[in-house]
Amino acid sequence: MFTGFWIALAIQAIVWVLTWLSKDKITEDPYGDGE
Amino acid sequence: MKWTIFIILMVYFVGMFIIGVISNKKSKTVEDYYVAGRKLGGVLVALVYMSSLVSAGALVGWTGQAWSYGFWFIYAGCAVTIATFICWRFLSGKVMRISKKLDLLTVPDFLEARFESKAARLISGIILLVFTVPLMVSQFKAAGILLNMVTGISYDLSVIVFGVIVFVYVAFGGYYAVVYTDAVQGGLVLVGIFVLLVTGLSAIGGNLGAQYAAVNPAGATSWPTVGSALTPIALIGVLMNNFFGALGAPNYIKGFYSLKSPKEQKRGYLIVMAIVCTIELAIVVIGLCGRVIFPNLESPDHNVFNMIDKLLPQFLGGAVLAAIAAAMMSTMDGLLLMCASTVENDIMVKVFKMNITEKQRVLVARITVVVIGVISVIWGLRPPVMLATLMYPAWGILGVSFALVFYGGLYWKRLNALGVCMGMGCGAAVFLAVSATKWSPFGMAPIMFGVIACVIATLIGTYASKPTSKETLDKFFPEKTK
Repeated sequence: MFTGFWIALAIQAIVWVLTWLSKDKITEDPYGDGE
Repeated sequence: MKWTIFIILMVYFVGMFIIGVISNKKSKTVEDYYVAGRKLGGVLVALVYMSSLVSAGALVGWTGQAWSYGFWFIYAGCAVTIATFICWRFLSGKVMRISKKLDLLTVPDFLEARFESKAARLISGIILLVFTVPLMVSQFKAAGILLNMVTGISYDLSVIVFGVIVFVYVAFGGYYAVVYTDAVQGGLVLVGIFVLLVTGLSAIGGNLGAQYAAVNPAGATSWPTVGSALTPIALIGVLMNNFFGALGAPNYIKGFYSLKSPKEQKRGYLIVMAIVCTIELAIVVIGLCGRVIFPNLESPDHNVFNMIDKLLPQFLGGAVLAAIAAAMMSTMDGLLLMCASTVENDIMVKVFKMNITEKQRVLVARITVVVIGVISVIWGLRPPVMLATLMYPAWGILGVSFALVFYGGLYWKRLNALGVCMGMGCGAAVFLAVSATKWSPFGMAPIMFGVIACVIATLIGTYASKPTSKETLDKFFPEKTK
């Protein structure tokens, strides 16, 4: 396989890790609605 | 005609039709009709989002492009994944909360609320219509080709049948119909991708890289080189189209309006990202396998159809074709409803101040869906030349315009009405002019000019005029309350 393929695979994996790390952060309430 | 495939497709079409009619009962108010009463769970929103993202362009076009270009096309999958992550991470929560708080139903509603400008509403509505209709027509065209190839029904009749099914279920059921049909369609699309991937990989038997290099040496590199089907700058144009399309296309962002709660938002985020991180690469790999199995095709777009025809048993082939039809329908239905809401809510009711009751509004919305559906079908039968050139890049420039609206509107306090109007207007106008004249210095793609024009015009417009009023900004940028 080509380096590019592994780079693409690594990018997908990194994005998934970032998703997991930010899963609680996205529900923060910036408007103070109390939800 | 292959009867097994034909019957599976017909069963699928009838199923979609029935779901649309059943959803009719749920759509009583305008809020129900456009945003499913803001009561949707994360799983449904994720499936709607995913099935809108994976259109016929992805299943047929992308696999065809991977077939034709080579390994380096895989970065397009990464571009979509990164953009989807940014979109959910930075917009989903804010858009869900602000749309509920200010009772926003459509994307142009957001513009008027944030920028205090009817002109911004109108310009965004026009841009939505101008660039969304070609996207819909492209799906109708692909649907016509699909049905014609598989069932032998004439292209014209295929487009009409497909169109009638979609606009009947959208007109009847509104966003509820879109959601329920998209959930089924999203599931089918996932099954279709899985079947094609497994079929492709088992047909080549291993070492995809070496086998692909043997049939297409110019595509067997990590970046375009001399002899590649695209130049490096053209590839960057393709990546930009995909990135911006996924970053800001309003039909995806509108899904956040219908989320029920932060808990559901988190669920949707994890599901969407798990799916996108996997399937975006899978689609490209299917195309690469196709090149090894079918090195000589009349058109790259025939890759998937050949895999279905030559490698799959008829029953499974029918299911995968239903998945492709599902991919087209699920993209089309959301776009159709968005166009109708722009005409009914943003132009007729909000700009021209038509004074009608809630019930009449739902009726007008239904009629608008049918009218826009009929126009798209007619254009789908014989796509006008300009429309044909806009089809694929339309996604990218639509994304650029509305990325400015949402990311700028929610994260940049200084951005004001003139800035956003000039940014959207100039970006779209430059993009159209460059596309029409096919002007391409150094091989640059129209979207590159569109982005540059959009950024410059936004900065000039914003700093040449007053900021939005403090009262409005306080709603969008409240002081920290914790």
